[in-house]
Amino acid sequence: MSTQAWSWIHKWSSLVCTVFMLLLCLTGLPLIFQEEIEHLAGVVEAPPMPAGTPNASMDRIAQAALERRPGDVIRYMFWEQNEHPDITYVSMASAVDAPPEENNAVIVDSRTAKVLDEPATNEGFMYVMLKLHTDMFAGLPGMLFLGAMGLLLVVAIVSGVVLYYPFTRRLKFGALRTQRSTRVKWLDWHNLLGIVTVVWLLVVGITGSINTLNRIVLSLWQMDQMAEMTAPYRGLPPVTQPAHLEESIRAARAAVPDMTVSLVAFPGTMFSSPHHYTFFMKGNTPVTSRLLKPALVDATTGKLTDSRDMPWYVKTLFLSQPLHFGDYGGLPLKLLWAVLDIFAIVVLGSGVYLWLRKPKAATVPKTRVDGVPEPANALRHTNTDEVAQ
Amino acid sequence: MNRYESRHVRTDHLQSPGEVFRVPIWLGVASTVGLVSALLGDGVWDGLSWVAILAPVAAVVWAWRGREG
Repeated sequence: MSTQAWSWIHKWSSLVCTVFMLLLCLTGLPLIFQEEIEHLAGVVEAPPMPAGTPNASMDRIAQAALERRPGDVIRYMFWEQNEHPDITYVSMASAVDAPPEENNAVIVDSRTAKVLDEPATNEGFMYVMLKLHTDMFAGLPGMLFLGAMGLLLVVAIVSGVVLYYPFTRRLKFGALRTQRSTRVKWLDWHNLLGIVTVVWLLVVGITGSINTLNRIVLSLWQMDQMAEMTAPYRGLPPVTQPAHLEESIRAARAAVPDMTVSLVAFPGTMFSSPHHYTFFMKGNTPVTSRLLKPALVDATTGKLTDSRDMPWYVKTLFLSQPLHFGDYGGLPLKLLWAVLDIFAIVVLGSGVYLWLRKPKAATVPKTRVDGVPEPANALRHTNTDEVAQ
Repeated sequence: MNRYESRHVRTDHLQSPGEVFRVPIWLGVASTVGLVSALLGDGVWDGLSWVAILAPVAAVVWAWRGREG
């Protein structure tokens, strides 16, 4: 393909996605530090108690949440073993099949089964950042649209790498010509910051696009592995009064003894079947803590039904999360994530500037110059002209 | 622009793709090592990840310090 063709691809793939990518880079910046920001904003902590204080029964914890919000049902309970070891987070909704966005949070002390807080989950700066970043307040279509923009970003990056060569074959690596025109200066910054962030931005872009497919991946898993595991229950009436939570969690722990429970999805929710609690178990290494393993427990008997490793497409989704969030290597990795994110913002901004300030020379080369063998010279001419300025 | 500046950023010959992409490829390898290593474990693996992902950032700092003029 000619340089001109690559140039066209780079221009249009970038122009279409740039506004959205700027939005994603800007809203993503605070989201990298979500945990730290929440901590500073003062999330509720469990009061200190003697070490080794036993936890209350899960049934009591569930009861406490239900008493706090009569009329609501519990959809999920989850734990952050490392950050908040003594807290059970309960996510409730007006009905088990209410929209997925509905999330009435109740925070319970796991040892005393006392409700500690009912934080608002759908307001505030971080909530707005998260919504803008994931679906722009446009639900699933918004999310999938951003995923498509992520794929255009990949096209822009690949074409940008191809164009890096004709633009820099006369320049040493890292050349920053700051003394010439503003355009040359920004061209050099665009090329430098673009080429050093290639791998990182490709990974964050592709994993971001994969993350937008989470609902689809979930439905696929429901129809595939979940349907297989729950085949004997097909046709039975759904469980409306799930019981035996404590017994069920013990059954899940016994089935997967080397992992800890990170989330339980109640019967009838997106992450479970109409007849089961699904316990999502996590390991204790960076990878196994992401590759959750489901254990299905019959919600009427508290007995294990099945526990299997997730299929490859769910594992891909799970591994895409840390690689997109940058939350798997401590604060230094988050800081580097932020720096690279800022580099990406400069690449996007300078790209728009270079398009707006396109020199006349760049449009000339459509007329072939005799004696120049390849037709690719548009950029070389542009480049040489700029060097000569 | 003076001659010194010109030599400072320009090469004396038309470079091959191998020459142009040598440094970017090493930075890409470092980025990949950094992205993967923190997934493999904590402690030393995290440290390796920080150092490796620092490479592209360091390259930018180096280029900025050596900028023309």
